[in-house]
Amino acid sequence: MIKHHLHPEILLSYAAGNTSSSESLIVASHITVCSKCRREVETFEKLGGKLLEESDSVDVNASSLDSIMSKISDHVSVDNASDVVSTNAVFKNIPSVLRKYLPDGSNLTENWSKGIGGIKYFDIDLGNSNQNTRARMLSIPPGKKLPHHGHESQELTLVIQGGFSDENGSYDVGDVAIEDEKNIHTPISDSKEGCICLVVYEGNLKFKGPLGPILNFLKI
Amino acid sequence: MFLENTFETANLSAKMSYINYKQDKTYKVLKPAVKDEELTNLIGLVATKKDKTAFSNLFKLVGPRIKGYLMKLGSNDIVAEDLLQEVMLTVWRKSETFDRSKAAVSTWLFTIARNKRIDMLRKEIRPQLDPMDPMLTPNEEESADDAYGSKQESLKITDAINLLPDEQSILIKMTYYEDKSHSMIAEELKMPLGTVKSRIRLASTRLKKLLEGNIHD
Ligand SMILES: [Zn+2]
Repeated sequence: MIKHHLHPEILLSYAAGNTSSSESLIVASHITVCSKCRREVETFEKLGGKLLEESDSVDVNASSLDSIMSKISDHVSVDNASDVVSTNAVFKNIPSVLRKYLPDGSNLTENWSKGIGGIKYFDIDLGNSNQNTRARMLSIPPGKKLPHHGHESQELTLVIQGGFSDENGSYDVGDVAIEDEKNIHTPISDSKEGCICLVVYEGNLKFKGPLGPILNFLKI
Repeated sequence: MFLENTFETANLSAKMSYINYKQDKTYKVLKPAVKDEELTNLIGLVATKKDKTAFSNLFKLVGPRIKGYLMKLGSNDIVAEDLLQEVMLTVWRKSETFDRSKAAVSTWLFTIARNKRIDMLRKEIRPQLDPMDPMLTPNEEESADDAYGSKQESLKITDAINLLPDEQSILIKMTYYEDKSHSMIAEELKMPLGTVKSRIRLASTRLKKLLEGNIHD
């Protein structure tokens, strides 16, 4: 049962179509497993539909219909060849919207980068270098306590496998932790399974070098 | 600005029609120009028979409104026509994915138009929910009675938006009509990001109640 949800304002933005790519990724991944938030998104899409319905009509150029009728006549049904999703068993329990951004391997984290303390991470390339939110997968070994840390800006964490807990509660698969400037916390990963999560955060990288990404992630 | 000029009168008339609505339950605030059932039938013909006449009729019925919506969002005539063609091609190709038990035609068209806009304007593929994902959890039971398409009249949603406090409605308009992210809104209105988020949160909760109320009443 999912206990920690996304806030309605990000669900509304997702439905309206103006979340960044990395925010869209975490929303789409969460609503795959959370019917409550999915229903909210559907409600906000319905709102969009109503706004479309209530828009003023604008005359369409006569040639548009001809043009589209000729396009559909030529159209041979080739559907979504680009959407090839790996069926590798290591990806089971990963929402398919997320799966297609992750590297293949004999286990989920095989081709992720190695950080300090057994932590592994993988930066997801969403082809959106001009946007100021980023998406990173993080794998934390069992029973690991992360240093007490704060956040410069909003950070969303979706638990994919295992879980973690901090001063605010415990987070299991499908739960979203929302951290912002006001939060300072000391997360501890699940003692048996550790934690694999998707983290979406705002801001620029400040630390360079091999430890950079982890230092940046922890903002220490 | 455009919003401010038209705002007072729009807000007033929205409040008036809401009052009428409250006083007389039969007051018809919104008469959709086209019946949802008619559109659903046309999409059904396209899906099952690849019926070009039905598709052409569908285009004539929904095209002008989709174009109007895209232009309201800031596309010029040429871009709106291009986008409209993309939207309608997707309607042709994906007609069998339309499920009237899940969404109204207008909602389905909205999501297609939204995605095409993002693909074209941002030149990126938006990560989004895969409706065929085996991981998808079942819907909550209460949503089973959402016969969206069957409801022909409801409180006009643009009026509902205008019924929100000004400070909230402007943020909803900027989200849907100007395609602005929270941080863009914060910058433009010189407002802390946290305030933008909390106001949109309040507004979305109220709109959600209104929309969900409409479904069940
Ligand atoms: Zn949720």
